[in-house]
Amino acid sequence: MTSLESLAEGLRKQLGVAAVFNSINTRLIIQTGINLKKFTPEQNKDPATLMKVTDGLRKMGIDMEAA
Amino acid sequence: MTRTAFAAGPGGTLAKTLIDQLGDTRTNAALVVFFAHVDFDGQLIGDGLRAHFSGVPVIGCSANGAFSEHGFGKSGCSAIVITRDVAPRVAVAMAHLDPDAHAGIARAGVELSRAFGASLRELDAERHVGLMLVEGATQREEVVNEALGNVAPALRFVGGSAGDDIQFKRTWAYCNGELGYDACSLAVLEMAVPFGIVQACNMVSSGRVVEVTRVEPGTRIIREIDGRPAVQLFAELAGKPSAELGFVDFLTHPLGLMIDGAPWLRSGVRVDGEGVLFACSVLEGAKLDVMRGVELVANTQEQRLAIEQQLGGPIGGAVLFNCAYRMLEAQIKGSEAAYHAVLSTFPHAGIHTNGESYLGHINQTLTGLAFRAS
Repeated sequence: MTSLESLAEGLRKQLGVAAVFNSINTRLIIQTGINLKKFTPEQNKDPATLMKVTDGLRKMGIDMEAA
Repeated sequence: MTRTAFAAGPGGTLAKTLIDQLGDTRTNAALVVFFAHVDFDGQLIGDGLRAHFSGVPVIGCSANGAFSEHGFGKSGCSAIVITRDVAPRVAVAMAHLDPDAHAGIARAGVELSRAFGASLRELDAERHVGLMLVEGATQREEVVNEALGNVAPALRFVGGSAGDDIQFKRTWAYCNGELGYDACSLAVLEMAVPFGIVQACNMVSSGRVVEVTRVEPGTRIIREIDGRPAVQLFAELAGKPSAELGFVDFLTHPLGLMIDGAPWLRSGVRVDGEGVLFACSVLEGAKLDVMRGVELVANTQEQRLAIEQQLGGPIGGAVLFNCAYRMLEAQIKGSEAAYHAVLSTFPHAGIHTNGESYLGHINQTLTGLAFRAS
């Protein structure tokens, strides 16, 4: 994953149900401040931001590297 | 049919009074939830309910006050029986948060998964929902919500922080015979009827957005907003010197983390030097909307109608977590009876909390689980 955009797309596909994506995105916003539905162009390609999200997802048992 | 109850002291007779009101629901009961003022003996009440509803899971927690459609009051106790036609399968577990909240929640997750015969993360989030009654005195709601998300990211847990007369000294949670002061009582319900999450909040965005530029690490204190001492924002909003800021000024001007158009409120508690202690932690760099209040009773009525629309019919029952801030607002404005009259159009049991939880920790809302009648 090289951008938040591709990560969000991959996560949507992996989860399938839109409501589940919304729940997990809400958890991410609260825990990291990053919103996968609303991010800036700078955040989109920022490696540190990407890492923060993938780490948060990994703690939830969601491995985006394997997606 | 969902049955609810409300009782006010004396403490020794509370369980019996609740049981008398809950009626003959023993054969069809799936879960009993109770809330009792912190001065009452939670062990006695919980064990009394458990003895009556033999074999049925019982969870509860201490409160700043309790309510149902049968009554409300600070020194009260409320209870609800959720029946099997609403929730055919229910599992409960108590998580101990000492010494490690993440580990405690993970252990409880294993217990709940075992009871359901499937990992919590595999349960269909559209048919299952969680309730959480977390101790509310030691500022661990953020970590508990995060831990629940790690155990079951898709499953929505809704609940609140146990109360203690808004003292933030010691609260308790009860689960199936065990009462803990470092605890979070959890229930997972498989639902057989349409259900929804209540997220009522009588605050709307003023349109002004501020950035939290410095927080005290590891605490709920915001030091700077927009590069200025945090206290200055609230002095400006209240139109008074910062030295005169009181609780009501913070109650009137919470900040909102906006997610999909809905505010996740972060409410100030008191001045801390040039900073402000909040009732919820806030991330440095967070952009928050400055909120303004709308009328509590009318707003709650609107939210009730919205939930009914979501459920596709009248609310058959609800477990409600009402922030103590809203309780105080209703008391200050003399609208307590009108507020509870709106809620009393459907069966419910509720608690005045030290905070609410839904995917994360929240302040100043009415949060809960509502479901259609079977």
